[in-house]
Amino acid sequence: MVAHPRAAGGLRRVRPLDITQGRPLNRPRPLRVEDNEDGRPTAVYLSGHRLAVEAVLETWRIDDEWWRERAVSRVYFSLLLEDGRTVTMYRDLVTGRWWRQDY
Amino acid sequence: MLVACVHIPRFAVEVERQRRKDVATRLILIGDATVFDCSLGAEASGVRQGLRMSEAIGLCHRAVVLPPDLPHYQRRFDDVLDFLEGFSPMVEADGLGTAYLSLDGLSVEPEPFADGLIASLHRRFGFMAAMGIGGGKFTARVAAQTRRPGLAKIVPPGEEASFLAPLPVDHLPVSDAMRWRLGLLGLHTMGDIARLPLGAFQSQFGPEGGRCWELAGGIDNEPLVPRVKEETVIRRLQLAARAVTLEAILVGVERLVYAAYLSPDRRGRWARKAVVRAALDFGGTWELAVPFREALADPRDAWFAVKNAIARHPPERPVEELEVELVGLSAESGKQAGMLEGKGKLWRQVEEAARQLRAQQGRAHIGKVVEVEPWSRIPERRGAFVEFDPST
Repeated sequence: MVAHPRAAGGLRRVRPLDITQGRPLNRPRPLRVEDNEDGRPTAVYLSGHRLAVEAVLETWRIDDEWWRERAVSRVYFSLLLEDGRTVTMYRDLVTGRWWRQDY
Repeated sequence: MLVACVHIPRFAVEVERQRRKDVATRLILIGDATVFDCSLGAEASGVRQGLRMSEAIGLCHRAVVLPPDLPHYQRRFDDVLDFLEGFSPMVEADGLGTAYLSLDGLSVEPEPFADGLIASLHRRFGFMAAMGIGGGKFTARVAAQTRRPGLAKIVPPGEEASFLAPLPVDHLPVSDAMRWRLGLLGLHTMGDIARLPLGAFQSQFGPEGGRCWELAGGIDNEPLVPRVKEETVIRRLQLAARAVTLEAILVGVERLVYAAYLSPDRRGRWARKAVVRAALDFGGTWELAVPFREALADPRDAWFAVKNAIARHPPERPVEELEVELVGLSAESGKQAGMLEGKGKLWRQVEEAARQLRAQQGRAHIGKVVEVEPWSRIPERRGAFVEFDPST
C-alpha cells in the first residue's frame, strides 16, 4: 500500500474543547416586574422605564431536574408591552423571583 | 436528407478474431449467461443474440466461448467512429458496429463514396463493412443490413417505399408483442403494412403503429444526432510482468494517475472522474469508474480517491496492462473554500491575532459557541461559549 502524501506526517492531534470552562449562553437576567393577585405580570421595567403589559401572548410551565437539590420550576410568559415590544420572561416558582430570558 | 449507414456485422466477433489469432478460424460464441454475439457459422447453426448460452453450446458444441469484453469493443468502435468523421462531419453511432453519416452538403457521388469508404475501412482496421445509402436512417440501415459485407446498396430518392416493400417486418424497430400481432394479422412484409390506411393501422397499434407505418413506407424524418465527443486524457502502462498483488496494481495506477495529471493534454483543466481499466490475464477487461465529489486539480487528491475505490473493488484476475482516463475535464481554476477550513490566509490571520492577544493579555479571549444540551427545555443549558485556541 502507498501512503497518502497528505497523511505522511500523521493526523494532527486536536485537543477537545473543554466545555466545563465555558459560560452558558442565554443566561436569565433579573427583571423587576409588577404582578396582580393572580401572579400574572402587569408591568415590567426595562432600562428603568415602566412599561405596562398590553397582552399576555402565551404562557407555559417547565418542571425539570426535580431530582436535584435545586429543582427547576418556572412559569414563562410571552408578553406584548405597551410600546409594541415582545419580551419573554419567567417566574421562578422556587424562589418567587422574576427573570428575563429568551426561550 | 441523404444518409449513409455503415454496418459491420458481428463486430464483437471480428474484434476478437483480430485480437486472438488462435480463434480466427473457429466458431465463436461471445457471452456469459446469454449470447452477446456469435460468428456466422454459429448463426447458421441456429444461434441468435440473446439465446441462453447453454442452448447455444448445445446447437454449436464445437464453438469456442469467449467472455464479452465490452470496454474493448467500445474502444475499437470509437476508433472506427473517429475514422468515419474524416468522411462526414456528422456521424451517429447506433450500437456496436453500426453508424450513420450525413451526406447532406457533401459533394460526393453515393456509389464511389460508399466503395471508397468500405475499402478505406478495411485497409485501416481490417473490418469488412456493408453500406446503405438512402433518404433516411431507417432505409439506409436496412439497405446496409441486407447487403453482404464489402458491398453497398444505394436507394435513390423516392424509391424508398418500393425498396422496403418486399422486405420482412423483422427490420422494423417494434416490440416483440407488436411483431407477434403483425404475424397474426398476416402482415409479413413492410409492403403489407404500407398498403394499409394509416388510420386503421394506428387505431390497432397506437403511436408505435403510426411510426411503424411511416417507416414501412420509407418515410423517416428522424434527424441524425451527431455523437458528442468528450475530450479526455488517457495514459496506458504495459506491465513487464503480470501484476498479481493489489500492491503491484496500485503502484502502476498511481504512476498513471500522476502521468495523466501531468499530461500537457489536460491544459490545466480539472477532472471530474477517472476511469481505471486493466487488461486481464486470460483475456477480458476490468473497468472501474471513480467519480470525484468535485472536480480535482491535484493528482494527490485524485489518487487518494482512486486508490480507495480500487481497494474496494480490485480486479479479480492478474493484470497485464493498465490504463487511466481522466474524463469530465472542466475549465475550473479555483474553488471557494470554507472560512475556517484548512490553513487558508484567514485562518493564519486568526492564529496570529490569537498569538498577539495571548502575548499582551495572557489569554486570547477568542471563543467558540458549542452546543451542550440542544434538546434541553432549560434555555441556558442548550449552548455555551467556550475559550478556543486555534493553534491546538
